[in-house]
Amino acid sequence: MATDRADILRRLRARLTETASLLGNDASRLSDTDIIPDSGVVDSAGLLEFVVWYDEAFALDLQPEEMTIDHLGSLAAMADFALARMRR
Amino acid sequence: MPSAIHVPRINNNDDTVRLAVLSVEVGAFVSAGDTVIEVESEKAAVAVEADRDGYVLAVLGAEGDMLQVGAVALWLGETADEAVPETAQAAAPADQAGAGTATAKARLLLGQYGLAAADVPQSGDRLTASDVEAHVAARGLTPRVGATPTPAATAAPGAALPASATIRPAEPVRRGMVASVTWQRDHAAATYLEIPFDPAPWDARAAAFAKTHRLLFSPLLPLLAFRLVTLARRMPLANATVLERPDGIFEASYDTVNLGFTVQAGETLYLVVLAEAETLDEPGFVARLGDLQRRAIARKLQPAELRGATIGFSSMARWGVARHIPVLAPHTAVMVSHTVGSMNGKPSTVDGKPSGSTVDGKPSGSTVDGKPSGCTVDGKPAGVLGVTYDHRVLSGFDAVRLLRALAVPDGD
Repeated sequence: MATDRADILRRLRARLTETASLLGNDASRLSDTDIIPDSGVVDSAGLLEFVVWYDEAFALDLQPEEMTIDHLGSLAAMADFALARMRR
Repeated sequence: MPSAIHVPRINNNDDTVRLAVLSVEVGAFVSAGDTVIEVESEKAAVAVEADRDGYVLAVLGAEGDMLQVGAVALWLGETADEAVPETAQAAAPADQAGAGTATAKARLLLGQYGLAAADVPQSGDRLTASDVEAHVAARGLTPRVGATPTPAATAAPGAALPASATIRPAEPVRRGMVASVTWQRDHAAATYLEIPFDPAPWDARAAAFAKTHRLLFSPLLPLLAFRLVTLARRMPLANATVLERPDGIFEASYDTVNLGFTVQAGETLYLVVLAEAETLDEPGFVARLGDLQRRAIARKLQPAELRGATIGFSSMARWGVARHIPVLAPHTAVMVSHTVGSMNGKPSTVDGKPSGSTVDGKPSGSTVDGKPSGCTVDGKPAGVLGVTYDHRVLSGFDAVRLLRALAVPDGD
């Protein structure tokens, strides 16, 4: 299980790039703090699949009320959220 | 856990009754209160209803069979792939007890041809469908009028599988799909119509909602589905069905709105069901439906979350299809379809040219007042709202009214 923020970010970016690629989009220019839904690199269904993977990959047991921009809106926010959850 | 439905006693002096009507088949989904069989004696007839929701796992008799009172008539299960308890094997029809057993398909065929098991020579330990088919073919017999044809009987001539086919039991999701399609084919008067709509007001509505609630996922489709739920409360016909029974034709209106919503999870298509959706406010509905979508993709749905739809909504907007004609869920009258003819906000294109309802790059299809209709609004690529509806329940006018109301957020 990844517990290093840089490693989590690396895994998140790799997966999002793969998901975007399946949709014919390029996520390589997405910064860590860009808001993913606003970036257009994945559509809503692709983002849903990405978050389901994130939940399982880091064993987070995400709750419905946590599906917000504030918690999971960017790669950086997702990495921070995962780290905080894993240290809880 | 499987549960049995037993053969009821009709008269004190009759220990056997005749299975007059078999209303279900193995693999079908039934709701509590649905009539599953009708049995009769010389003096009376009784309809037997399912006492719970469930899938029919086994049917232990065919129309025309004499059944022992108290024997198991059929088994219901939580899922379509539950194992039938061993005791099921002991519940043979009364007229076959002690004379060898017939397979379920053989019994079905016997009923269709009005034959008794003793009439047909059996080639092995059990009387099989092949035995019955050979018997009727040799004598040139035809099924009785009104008998339910088996899939084999309805297969097109020459439709035999190639020898290379590998046959295995269908997955539960496939069985569910077959049950839906079969119900529509055999029971509903499924009809389809569609209208163009301008997606911009809905997009703006969804963007504002997402901003207010800080949502990660676009609420567009859940908001459309919520509006459908609201409209279903105002138009009870959209949340209803018709039952055709031997004792008459009945209208059934649902007291709750259980929204069926299609979710594509990998290669699997689910119809997740948000029960009692009318009790939720808009934010609560969006959150609940989002949670169902997420758990569908994670393969973490409960069986109860996949049944009992009273109305449906399906979007293929993600794929930029020009038209999408969905199948009705069993015992429903409406399945709305939604697409926008665009991908990620851009008009759908093929090799850089507009696709969908265009010819040589210009909008094609029908016109209204001399202007293009169909997949355009004000000359721009537009969304399409369609509906597969049961014409036994709704008229085309009803369906159009529903779609027109759905096309406008917060409209009347």
